[in-house]
Amino acid sequence: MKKMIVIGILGIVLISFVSAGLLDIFGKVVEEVEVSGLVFYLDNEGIMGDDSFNLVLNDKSSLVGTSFTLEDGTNLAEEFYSESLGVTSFYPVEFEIVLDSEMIFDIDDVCGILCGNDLIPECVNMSTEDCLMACDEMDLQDLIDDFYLSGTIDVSLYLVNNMGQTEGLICNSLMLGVGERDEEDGYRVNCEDEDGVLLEIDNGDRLKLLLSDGSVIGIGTKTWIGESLIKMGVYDE
Amino acid sequence: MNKQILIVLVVVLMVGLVGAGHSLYNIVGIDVPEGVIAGNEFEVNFSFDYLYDGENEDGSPLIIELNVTSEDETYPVMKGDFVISGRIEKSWLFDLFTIKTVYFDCSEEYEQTIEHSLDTQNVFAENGTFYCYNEEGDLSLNERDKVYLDITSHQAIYPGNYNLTASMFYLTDKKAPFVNITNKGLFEKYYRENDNVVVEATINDGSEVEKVWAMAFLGYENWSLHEEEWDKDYYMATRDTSEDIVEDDYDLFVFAKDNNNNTGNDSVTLKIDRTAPEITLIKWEKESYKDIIPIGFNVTDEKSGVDNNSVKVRLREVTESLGICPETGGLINETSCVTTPWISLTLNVSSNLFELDFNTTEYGITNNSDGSYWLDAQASDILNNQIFWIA
Repeated sequence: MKKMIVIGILGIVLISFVSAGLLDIFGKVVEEVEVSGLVFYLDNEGIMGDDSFNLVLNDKSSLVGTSFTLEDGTNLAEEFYSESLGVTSFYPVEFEIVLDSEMIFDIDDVCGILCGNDLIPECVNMSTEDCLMACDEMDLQDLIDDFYLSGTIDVSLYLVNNMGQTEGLICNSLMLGVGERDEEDGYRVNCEDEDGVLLEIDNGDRLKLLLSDGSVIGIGTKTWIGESLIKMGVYDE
Repeated sequence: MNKQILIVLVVVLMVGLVGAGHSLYNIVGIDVPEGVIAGNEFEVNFSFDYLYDGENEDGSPLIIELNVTSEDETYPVMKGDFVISGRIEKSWLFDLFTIKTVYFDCSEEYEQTIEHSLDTQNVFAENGTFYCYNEEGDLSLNERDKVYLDITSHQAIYPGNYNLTASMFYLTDKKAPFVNITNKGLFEKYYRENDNVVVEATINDGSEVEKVWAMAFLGYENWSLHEEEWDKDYYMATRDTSEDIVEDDYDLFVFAKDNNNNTGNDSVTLKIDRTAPEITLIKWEKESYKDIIPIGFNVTDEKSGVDNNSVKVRLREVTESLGICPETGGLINETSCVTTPWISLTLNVSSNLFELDFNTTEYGITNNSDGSYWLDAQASDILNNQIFWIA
């Protein structure tokens, strides 16, 4: 019988706690939500009717394509356009450009540059042909490490009108040191709208991203669709 | 062991009932997602521990007020920064089955009129404030209903932290019943003693109307009319004016009171006219004898107006001897009299006089012994307030 009374009391205490919890806040509750700036995903489908690609707003579920390359001799630059943003003013914006990229290179071209400029210590006093042969036989990773080989992407953001005509250069930045692919973090560069171009945005204006190959001859970059994006944040002047 | 479980269950039920009696409405939690991106819709949800306890009568509108504020004071929330709509899901058996979904809109218009079954409420939404309700103004919230808010921020909203405050309140009926006297046309005319006064009205209110009554304030008494009919929104009352009612203008009201003690009314003026017309002789050739005697009266009545058919005259003449022909007819002291019947006068529109060319021959009036006549007149207003005039 004592056991039953104890269980009963425990029941009362337990339920009292629950009820008290319900009654603590009377008719009002506050919660915080963090809102991030817009995100544009790079995509391999065009919206401007030319060879340019798309910047897909906030949604990566429908991205088209897998990758694109930027390299001397084949494809020097790519343009990406957003839809019209339907916005007439922005806060001071800082962009973070994240590219899921890696360096690509042509070993013959790279060895040609290294041997032509006598940059390989082992090839001193060798003829160019012998140097090229020796270079070809070297370990690729050693070459990259020894000669700090990396890709460079020139990143430019523009405000353009609905037809794609430039309204203003928002910012420009170099993404240096693109080497091995880092799927987790990618390569990042920040780019600020220092001149406040976006403060004057019109309703039909779009964002244009221009990526250009900035690497030395023989080196290029490959960028994957999916995690390559532009994030908008607040530019703390 | 079974006994123990039973005791616990009984205790749980008892405490549950006590808890229910304490609370009218509480928001017990709110879930906000992470990774919200400007321009994208996100959903937050919370539930009300709303328990019907009689204070909040069934059908009274429950309204959710949302406040969205920015933690960065330099970028406060402005109109258009958020678009919010939502729904309430009513479930049964520990949320296993959703039995009803009530959708509602949230408006951030600065001046809003929330129209609902009980009342019309004006609210002012400062920047960042939304009022959520459905068309009926009644979200039909009940215990443990889940409230879902679909929120979309503007694409250019300032990135940062925003506080979302959800409050809930219900509106009480502060609006008086709408009373409309429908037979006001009847009160354009005047009444006199012993007249039947009928007042008809329509009564409309979101709540239940519990009492309707009609009354005129006479100054010396409150004159209540008797209810003849009250069927839903139609009301009719009637009463005869008293024999001694004093001539004046009185306010006659129809009142209606709802069950939230709001009283509405409409009124008309009950106009009492007990004054007969005034008669002034304008045209009359005294002590002359002609075959045709022109007679003209100015007859006026300020209030209800002259009954044109009521203006009449008669002549009295002594035909033999000297004496008086009494106004009641007949003879005095063997005097022989001629008294004509009452003869109607015609209103001359140009002179605005009631006139008659009296033909003496036709009514047997002669050039009597002393050539004197008595002229009598009578007139009534349209309420039949009558006057007799004697020359």
